[in-house]
Amino acid sequence: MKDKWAKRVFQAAAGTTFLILLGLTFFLFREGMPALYRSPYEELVFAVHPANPVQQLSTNAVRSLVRGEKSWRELGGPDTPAVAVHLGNIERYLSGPFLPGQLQRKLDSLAHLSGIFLALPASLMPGFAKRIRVPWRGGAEIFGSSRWSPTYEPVPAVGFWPLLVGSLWVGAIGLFVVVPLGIAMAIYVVEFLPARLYYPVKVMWEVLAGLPSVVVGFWGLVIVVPWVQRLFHLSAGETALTAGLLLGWMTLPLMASLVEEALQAIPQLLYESSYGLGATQWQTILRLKIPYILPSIATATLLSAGRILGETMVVLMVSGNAPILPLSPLDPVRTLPATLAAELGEAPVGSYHYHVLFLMGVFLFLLTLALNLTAYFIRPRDEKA
Amino acid sequence: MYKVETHSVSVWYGSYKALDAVSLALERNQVLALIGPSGCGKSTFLRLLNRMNDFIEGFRIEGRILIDGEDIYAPTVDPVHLRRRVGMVFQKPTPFPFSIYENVAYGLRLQNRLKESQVRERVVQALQQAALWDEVKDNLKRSALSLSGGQQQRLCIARALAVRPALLLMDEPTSALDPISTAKIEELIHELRNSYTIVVVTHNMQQAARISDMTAFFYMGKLVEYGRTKDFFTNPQHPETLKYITGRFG
Repeated sequence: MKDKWAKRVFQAAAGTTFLILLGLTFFLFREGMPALYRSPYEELVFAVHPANPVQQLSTNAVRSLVRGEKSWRELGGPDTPAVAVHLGNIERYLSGPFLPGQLQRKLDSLAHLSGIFLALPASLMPGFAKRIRVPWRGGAEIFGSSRWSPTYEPVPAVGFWPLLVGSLWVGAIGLFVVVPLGIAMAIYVVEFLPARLYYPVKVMWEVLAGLPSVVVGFWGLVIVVPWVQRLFHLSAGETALTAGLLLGWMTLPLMASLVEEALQAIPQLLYESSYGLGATQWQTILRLKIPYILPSIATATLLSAGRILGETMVVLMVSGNAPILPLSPLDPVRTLPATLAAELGEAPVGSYHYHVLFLMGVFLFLLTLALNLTAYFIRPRDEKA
Repeated sequence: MYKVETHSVSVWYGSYKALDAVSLALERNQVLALIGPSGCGKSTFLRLLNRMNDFIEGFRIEGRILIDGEDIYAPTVDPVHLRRRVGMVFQKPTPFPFSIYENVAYGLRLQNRLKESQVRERVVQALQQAALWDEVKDNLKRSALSLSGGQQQRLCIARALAVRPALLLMDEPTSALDPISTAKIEELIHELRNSYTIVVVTHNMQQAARISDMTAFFYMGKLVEYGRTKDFFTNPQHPETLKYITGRFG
């Protein structure tokens, strides 16, 4: 009778876990997918002077027109300077307190400007203006653009590339630190560490693995950031390198434990066979043990990569938080998860910004899922030598 | 000169005495079988001959062991060099996760002195000596793990032979094998006697009688009886030996 209840409790726990996971995934996709088919400026109308022959502008054309980087002439319009009016600069057209009708009169008075470009809600759009189209292609904007500026008016830039490349820099540097060091630590512990020091060292690993990442981030901010800044003569020490170094260091216990486990699992007779043939300890390590555990090293590397790519707090603190395409590891970067953490709080629920952040979450989820699944499928099976 | 001589060898693991004053001598091109119940010290004795016990914490030895007249525990002897002269085969096949070819070449490559053509020659020769050549010659690049258990054990013998050891040690080499594979290994030991001196630990008295020239019976760390295999099984001198070989203990 008792057993039956115990079984039910376990079933319920397992079922709940599964449902929560399923629900989370569903929620992530449901909130993320609209970024692909909705537009960030659904409530805006774009318009120009009636004499302007332009019928349609690309999002890039709008951005460069607003920033003053391109003239109307280059975009097929009249030979007059562009005057852009949008929600980001509309307060310039208001003098003093907002009075109903005042703004409308002001906008109407711009009818004489043949270079006018308007991006406004339909309710504010003055009657003289000729509407044009600015089509939004979500997939191309998200995966093809190299700018991340999700609140830019009137047309945001939501390219994942700067953030993805930021993540890749941090991940590559982190792996560059954690893989060789993790293997070296594991070999040291298995091969050279005196037995009486084994447990103290393992306890230290556990402590390191259990450090809250905000503590690591704080330590990095105070110690590593100035150190990187001085070493490379930078104006700021918050770089991809700093974040990569810290994340690599944080992931060491995971990597080292996995490799150590694999080393300990090598059958004794197998390495005795190597010694029996006259191999030295180093020859046995390099020619037998490391080749033997290569699949485990690959698994451990992928799991570490997943951990590094998903880590948020430390990168948020020491990477410089600049969502620009980083060309060197000494550039400040922002990673995908750091962007989610930094921006989700200020993105209004249901806004395009909100959806695009969720899409980023989906992307990150698929990335780590792929890493973990690959690690799972290449992991060494129980093969008795 | 004897191939192997031990002079009152005693061994301790910490405070536990595993071997007590073992003295014996073995001539060249002979097969010595070490028998005795579990924990009697026969494996310890075998592992003394290539200093495999050095890895065990608390290991201590007294007495002298000579191989080809050289004291192998002399301070000037490097155990790594000793092991290149004393091959070992274990109670389970221990193929490395490489190709058949690379398994046999492993010991040869450790010294880095041979050209690849020489390595190849020695690999082929060792596989032939280990009676495995005919079964694997078509594809030496195959993974060694794809071989059957008996083939794997012969591969391990080939791997040990490739470095041309002066002495071959076998620690229950057939204990994990089926009867047919066991018969093949025994046949192989029989042939290898022409060019090698072999020390075999075995649990199987019939096997000891079949394959060896000399038999040593260990009991509780002591060498109880040592003699020609013929005499050993037909006319044992000690009551313990008689009890053991007739299956009354062990």
